[in-house]
Amino acid sequence: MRLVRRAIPAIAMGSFLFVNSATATVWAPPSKQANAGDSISQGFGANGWPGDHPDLSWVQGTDARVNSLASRHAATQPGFTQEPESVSGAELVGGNDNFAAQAARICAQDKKPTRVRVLLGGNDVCNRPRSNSADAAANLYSVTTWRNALRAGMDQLAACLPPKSVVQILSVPRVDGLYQAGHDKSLWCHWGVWPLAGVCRVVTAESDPARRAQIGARIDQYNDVIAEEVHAYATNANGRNPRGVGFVTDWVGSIAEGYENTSVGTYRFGAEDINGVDCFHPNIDGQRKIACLAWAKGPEGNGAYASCFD
Amino acid sequence: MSIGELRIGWSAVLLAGCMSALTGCSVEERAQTSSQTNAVGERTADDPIASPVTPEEILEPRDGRIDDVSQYVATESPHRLFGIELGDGTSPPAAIIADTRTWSTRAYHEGELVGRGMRVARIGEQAVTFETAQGDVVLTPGDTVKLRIVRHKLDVVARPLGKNRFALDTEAARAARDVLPSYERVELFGGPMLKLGEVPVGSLFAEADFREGDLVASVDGAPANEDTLAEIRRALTDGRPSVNIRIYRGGIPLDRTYTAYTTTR
Repeated sequence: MRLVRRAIPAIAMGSFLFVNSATATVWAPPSKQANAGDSISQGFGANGWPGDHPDLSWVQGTDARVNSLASRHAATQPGFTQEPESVSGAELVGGNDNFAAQAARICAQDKKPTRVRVLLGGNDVCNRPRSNSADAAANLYSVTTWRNALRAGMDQLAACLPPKSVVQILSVPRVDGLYQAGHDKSLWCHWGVWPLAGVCRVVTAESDPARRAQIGARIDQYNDVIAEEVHAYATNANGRNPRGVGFVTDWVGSIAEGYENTSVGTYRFGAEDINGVDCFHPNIDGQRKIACLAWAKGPEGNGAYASCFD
Repeated sequence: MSIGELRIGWSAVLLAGCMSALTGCSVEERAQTSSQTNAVGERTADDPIASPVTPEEILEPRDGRIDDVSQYVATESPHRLFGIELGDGTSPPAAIIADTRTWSTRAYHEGELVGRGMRVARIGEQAVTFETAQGDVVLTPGDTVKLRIVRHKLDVVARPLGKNRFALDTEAARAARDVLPSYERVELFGGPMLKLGEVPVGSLFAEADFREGDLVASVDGAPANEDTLAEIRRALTDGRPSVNIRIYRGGIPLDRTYTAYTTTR
């Protein structure tokens, strides 16, 4: 969904409201941001040191080199605050910190956010065992499981956020692309840190590029589901969002469909975008690109994202 | 999603039994169970209210027999079936089930117990069947149903609180199988770590959510060494208020806090 920012005089409190150019929806001002996410949103390893570095996160960071969404909001919205809920290791589907659990924590925040950013899914793929069948994606969560887990989080946000808040759900990066980036970065990644640390073995231990692509294709399916559900909630076509919370995503289609470098899920991460710690997570430059893309495709962006990848 | 979208079998009987047991729970018993706190006084508002169970409800007693049924309690909360995973054919199919009270979600396999009063009887392509003493419950993906989970008081060693925090029941930790995982020493990210091999089922480490392949990096800030696993065992069982353990799982650091759980039971 392409949203264009138009600042108009606020009705109250001297703040600004934002307008969706397509539907003339007036969104609530971005007074507070929360997020659901995993280690990418925690800035894991972004500066080349193992561990979380939230100051370098695309969503919650404070470092000027990243120019995170929080930094951008803080620069334009007086009194902006944030209360992140992302947790390293979180899946969208499984575990104790999944999307639904993080959404519940967002809903339990004393002051409800009007912007919620979601980036989950990499661990859903990386935590699954390798397949012994002809289908390398056989052990990944089914599309049905993915959809139901996604809805479990979206239902809660639709019910608890102030009307005209916006939930932005970013597409899942293709781990086969991250494999290639790490492979190109150094031999140490492939032969050292990946097997030693057990980094995303479902793909990093897979020598056949066609089988890695099968895993990537399942991620495309997950991203298609994100887009379908975002549309269904945004329009309330499913009856699950009667209060009018906004839902947007960056996903418009897969690389195979001609949408390369149009979303997080289709961006071809290169060796220059990932850290040298685990050779799998975005470095500062990778975080900056995600932030730029998310902003461009969010409610305050103008939709122009091409320069984000320069 | 409506609760109780049960399709066949004795589900109505099951729910009636659940409600009957719940209403039969005394105020005093509820107060005792709901007064559980951890060492720092935390108690989540949505802790389930426990109710007593009958011997007939218990499909598989702890230690193979029921010496004292009062050691078992049941909690009820809505669970949702996210989906059914058939996998690659070399591993058993799994049902991905979320406890909607906490949204803690895990995979259950055919034959596996859900607590001690319910067993995953069958996982088909379209539905999962739970066996209980009162009859079968059938769920299809997306269904939500209130499940009555029966547990022995020593069954849960580490209750997840989210964000890598666990409430540790020291008494249950002491009762878990006392066998350490195998490990190998590795150097990674500039420091020594212990890479866990097999983590025996039912062992203290398994019950505290350690898995094969986890890298143990430090305990309360002290870097891993040959004594670290024994130190973790001590830390989880000696009653200290809390212990912080850093592990790497899939290369990602998880800074875990286990906070001792005290109870008035």
